Amino acid sequence: MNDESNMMEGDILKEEALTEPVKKPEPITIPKKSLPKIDPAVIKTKILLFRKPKLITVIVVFLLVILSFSLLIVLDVKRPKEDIVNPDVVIASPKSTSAPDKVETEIEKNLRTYEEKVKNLDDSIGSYPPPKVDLDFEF
Amino acid sequence: MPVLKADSLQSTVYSIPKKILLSLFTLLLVTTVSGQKSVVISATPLEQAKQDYAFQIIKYNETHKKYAAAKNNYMAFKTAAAKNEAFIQTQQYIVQVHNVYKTYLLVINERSNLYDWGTSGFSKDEEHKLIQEEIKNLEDLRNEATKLTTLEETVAHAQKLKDQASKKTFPTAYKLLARTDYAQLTELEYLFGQNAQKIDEFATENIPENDSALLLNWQTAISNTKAAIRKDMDAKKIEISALAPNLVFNSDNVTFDFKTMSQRSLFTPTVGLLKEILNLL
Repeated sequence: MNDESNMMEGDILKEEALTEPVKKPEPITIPKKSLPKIDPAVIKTKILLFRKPKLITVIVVFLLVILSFSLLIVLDVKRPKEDIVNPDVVIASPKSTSAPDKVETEIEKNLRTYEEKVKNLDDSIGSYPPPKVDLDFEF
Repeated sequence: MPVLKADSLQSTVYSIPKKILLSLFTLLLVTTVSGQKSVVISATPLEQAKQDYAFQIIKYNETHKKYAAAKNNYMAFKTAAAKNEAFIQTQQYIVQVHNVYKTYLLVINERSNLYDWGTSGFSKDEEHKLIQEEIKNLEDLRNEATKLTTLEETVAHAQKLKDQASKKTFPTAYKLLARTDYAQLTELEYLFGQNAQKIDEFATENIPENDSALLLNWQTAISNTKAAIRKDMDAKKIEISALAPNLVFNSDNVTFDFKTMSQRSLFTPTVGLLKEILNLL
């Protein structure tokens, strides 16, 4: 019995010996980046550049132009379509003449169309003279 | 660690204005073009056809100059090179004559669309069909012209084109123009009648009793005008109908003589006449 138990203990010890020792994970370290060095001379140059009135004027003018054009474009897009037709202005009248008014309006409208057509009477056959070309070839 | 050099930074900053100007210019261009889009009024089909015709006339004048110069050169020296140049220029000139004739027909075709032919008694579609046929004939002849190979052939082709213009192109154009003139006047006659009738009805209902004699006078004037117009229109219709089917024009000095001045002059005072009675109401 003792021999058997010693053998079993030996096996267990062997197994324990076979298992590799667990390595402890190394702590993750973030490589520290050093902050960019600020060259005071560069900053000074930058500041000095913006003090130049010529450059400032150019930038301001550019911004103003961009702004005004953008505004114009926005206004143009938002602008409602213009109605060329004059709105009917209702003028209070002592007598109710709605039906004759309608007829009169229609008559006036038709008269305007007719007048336009009469004005176009200049458009006649004389306005379209045939082309005159030279086809008398002699060589 | 890179360190920005002051010189390079300065040069970068100074280069910005050029870029700004470029982008500014582009922006201005885009804005201007988009702005113009709404301002541009599209040309009517007749205006477009007239522009095309005017362009072909300009090209015709250019090719005519070249043709005349090449011809003179050949007549002076009679060399093979001069003959070849004369052939090339003559061929191009003939092709251009075809283009002029074709665009002219397209102009008068578009002009006929300005008027309502309904009361004229002529069929606009029938007229358009004839014009399209003539355009096709000219295109066929133009294709023939592009296949010519000698100077002698160009002379024969020019004669063929001349005959086509005299016997087909100009008579077809003249008939369409005359009928369009007639359609224009019959449309006006119809509109005058319509307006007169409506105004008469309106005036009869609304004229003050004291002015009824004036209304009668006006009605008489309207009737007389209508009768005068009708009489002249009938005469014009007879004139158009009497046009010979085999009408021939002298293509050297062609003129379209269809007079409608007297008819047109009848319409000029009608606007005032129609308005006259309305002023009394």
